Amino acid sequence: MQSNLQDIIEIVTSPTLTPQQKLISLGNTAERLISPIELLDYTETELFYINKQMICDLNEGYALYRPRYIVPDYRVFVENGCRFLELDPPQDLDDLLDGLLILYTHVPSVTSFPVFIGHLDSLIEPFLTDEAEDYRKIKRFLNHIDKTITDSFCHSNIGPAESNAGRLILKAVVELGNPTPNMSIRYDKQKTSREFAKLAVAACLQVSKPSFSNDAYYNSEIGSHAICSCYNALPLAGGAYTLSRLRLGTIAKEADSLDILINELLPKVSKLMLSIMDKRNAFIVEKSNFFESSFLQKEGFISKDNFTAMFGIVGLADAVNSMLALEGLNETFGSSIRGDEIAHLIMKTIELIVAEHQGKYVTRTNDRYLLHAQVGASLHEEDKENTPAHRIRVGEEPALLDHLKQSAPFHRYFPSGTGDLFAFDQTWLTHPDAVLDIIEGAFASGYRYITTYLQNSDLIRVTGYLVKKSEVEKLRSDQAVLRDTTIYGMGTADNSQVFDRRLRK
Amino acid sequence: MRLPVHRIIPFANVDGLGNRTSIFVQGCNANCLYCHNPETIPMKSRESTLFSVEELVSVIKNSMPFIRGITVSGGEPTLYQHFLTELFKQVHDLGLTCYVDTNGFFNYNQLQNLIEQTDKFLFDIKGLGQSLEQLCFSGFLNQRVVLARNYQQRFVIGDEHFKNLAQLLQQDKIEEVRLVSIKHHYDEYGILEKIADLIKPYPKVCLKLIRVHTRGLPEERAIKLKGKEPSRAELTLLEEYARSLGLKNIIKII
Repeated sequence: MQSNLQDIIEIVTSPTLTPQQKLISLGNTAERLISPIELLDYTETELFYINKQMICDLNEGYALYRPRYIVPDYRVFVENGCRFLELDPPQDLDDLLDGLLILYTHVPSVTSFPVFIGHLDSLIEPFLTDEAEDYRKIKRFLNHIDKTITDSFCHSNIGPAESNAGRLILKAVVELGNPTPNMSIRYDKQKTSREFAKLAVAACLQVSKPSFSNDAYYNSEIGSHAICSCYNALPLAGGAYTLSRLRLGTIAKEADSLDILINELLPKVSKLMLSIMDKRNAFIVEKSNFFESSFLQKEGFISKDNFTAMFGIVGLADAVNSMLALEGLNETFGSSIRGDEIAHLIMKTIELIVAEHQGKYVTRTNDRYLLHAQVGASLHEEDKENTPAHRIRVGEEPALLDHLKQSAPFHRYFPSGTGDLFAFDQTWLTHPDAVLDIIEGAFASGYRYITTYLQNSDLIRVTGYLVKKSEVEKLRSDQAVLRDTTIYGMGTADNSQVFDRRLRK
Repeated sequence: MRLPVHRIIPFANVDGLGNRTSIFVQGCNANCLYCHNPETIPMKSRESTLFSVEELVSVIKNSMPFIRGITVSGGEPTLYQHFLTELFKQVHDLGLTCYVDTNGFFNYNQLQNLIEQTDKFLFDIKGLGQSLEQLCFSGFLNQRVVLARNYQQRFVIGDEHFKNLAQLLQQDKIEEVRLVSIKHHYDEYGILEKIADLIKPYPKVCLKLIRVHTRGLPEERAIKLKGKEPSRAELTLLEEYARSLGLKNIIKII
C-alpha cells in the first residue's frame, strides 16, 4: 500500500513504538511514499488488484534498496574474516561469536534485521574447548541476539548431525526461553541421532523451537539452503528478492462459481502478481545498486546468482469454504473430502501458472519463482478472512491423525516453505519418542516442516515466528515492547485465535 | 473370530515406547478397585464393538506411518490370546511392533503362542497374597466355584503372576513393570523388594510407580480407597527405596 505524510505523524507520535521501531517504520513508510506506477512501472490494473486486497505486497515498499531475505554463508567469515569490517578470521570462540554479532548488524532484510544468522552448531563446533566456559559464552551470545535483534524473524539452523555445539545450543535456548532467534533443526533420520532429535523435541515442546525441517526433501529441491525468517527454505549465499502473496480468501469471494475462480480469476490475478514480482526483482538488480555496494556480495557471503523470489498464498481454507458454500455443502476445509478436492484444484492451477512463468534474475531456481505458503500478517481487515497458508481454521481442526493426513499432501506445492504446527499437552514432554514418531511419520507422508509446542508455555509460535504471550498482553495495555514481532503477533492472535489452537492430548 | 473392543486410541504415548495405537479390549478377569476403565471389566458391554482381524488391521493401517506399533490393553488382553496371536502376525507384517498390557493373571504354558508373537509386555503387578483378594477379586473368590478356587490357589497363594513375570523377563519380553502405590493396603515395600529381585538383572526394564487416584472413579469404588492415596512425598520415599534396592530405571507417576 502507498503511504502518506499522515502515516509519518502517526508513527512519530505512537505511544507504544520504541525510537528504534519508529526509525524502521519511518524508513518503510518512505519506501511506500512513491507511487509504484512511477517508480516500478506497475500498471493501473496491477495497482488496482493490490488496492482490492487480492494481491498483498506485505508492505515491502516500492523504493527498493535490498532484497527481502538475505541468507549469508557465514563460513566465509570463519575462513576469511571480513575486509569491509576489518575483522580477521576468528581464532577462538570469542572471536567467532563477537564477529558474528558484528556481522549481524550489517545484514539487511525487509525487517532491517538479519533473517538468517547461520548454521550455528557447525560454525561453533570447531571452536569448542571447555564445555562449561563455552556454554556460558554460547548462552550469552544467544541472549545478546534476543535483545539486539528485536525481531523474531531472525532464524538460526542446527543439525542434521549431532554435535557438542548443537547440544549446548539446545540447552541454552531452553534455559533462556527467548523468542529470538527462531530455530530449525535440519532433520534427517539417516544423519540425525535419535538422542539429539529427542533433545530437540524436548526443547521444541518447552520453548517452541527448534522446529523440524525435512532436510532431505529440501536438499532434493533447493540444494544448498538454509531455513530463514518463519520457515522459508532459501538458497544459501543468496536469498529472495521479494515475497508477494495472493489472498485466496479475498479472491474467492469475487467468484460466482468454482469455474470462474479456476479459469478466470486465479489465472488473471496470479499473472498480475508474477508481473509485479518481475518488476520488483528488476529494480533491485538493475537500479538499486544493492549488489554493487554490498560487501556481502563483494566478499562472497552472498552471490546475486543465488537469489530467487517467492510467490506466496494465504487463505486457502477460506477460498475453499466459499466454494463449498456455493456448492451448497455445509462442510469446512479440513474435514471435507470435496473441500480437499477443491483445494488441490486451486493449488494445481496456481502451481502451473507459476511454473510456466519465466522469472527475472532467478537462474538459481531455474528461472522460476517458488511457491510459498505464507502464514499471514495483519495488515488489513481482509486478513481476518485469510487463514494462514493452507492451514485449517483454528477451531475447525480435526483430530491429530486426521489433521496430519489432511495437511501432508499440500506440502509438496511449496518448495520455498510451508509448515504445520500442533499444540500438545504436558504428557508429551516425557515422551519425546512418541513426538518423534509423529514427526517422522509426517515427513514420510510428505511434510516439509513441522513444529510443536506445549499449549501452556509463554513462548508461542504465532504462524512461523515466536512471541511471548506475556509481551502481547503488555502491548494490549499500551506499553512499549522490545520486539516488533509482538505487534504482528497481537494482530494475528486477534484475527485467527492462534493462541487457542486445538490441544493434542 | 471376533474381538470385543471397547475403544481404540489412534495415538497413545503412555502405552509403551513411542507413539502407538492402543486397543482396549472388553472384558477382564480381575475387578481392581482403582481400575480407571471399569467399563471394560464386564465381558459383554453395549459400548463395545466386535472386530474381525481384518477390520482391526485396517484401523491400525490408518494410523500409519505415524506409529511404531500397537498396544493391546483393556480389559485383559490375554483372555483373547487366539485372536491376538493372529492379529499380531498380520500387524508384524506391516512392520509394527505389538505390545500387551497385562495384569499377569494368566497361565504361562497355555499362552505360548501369544507370547511368541508379542514384542513386549507392560506388566502390572497388582499385589501379593491376601491383599489381592480385596483389591482385584472382591466378591469373587469367596464364591464356591471352581474358577474362584483356582484363582485363590494360583495367584493369592501361589504367586503365579510373579512367576509369569520372571519367565517373561528371561525371554526379554518385558518393557515395563508397574506398581500402583496404595497406602495401608498391602506391604508395598515388600512387593517392591520382590519386583526388584526379579528385574534388577534387566536394567532396560522400567519400573513405573504410580500414585493411586480416586478422582474419576465411581463412588462405590472411590469410597473403599478413601484415605489410601499416598502423598507425593510418600511416593518419593517409595522411589528412593526402589533405588536403594539397586533399581535405576524408575518413572514416578504422580
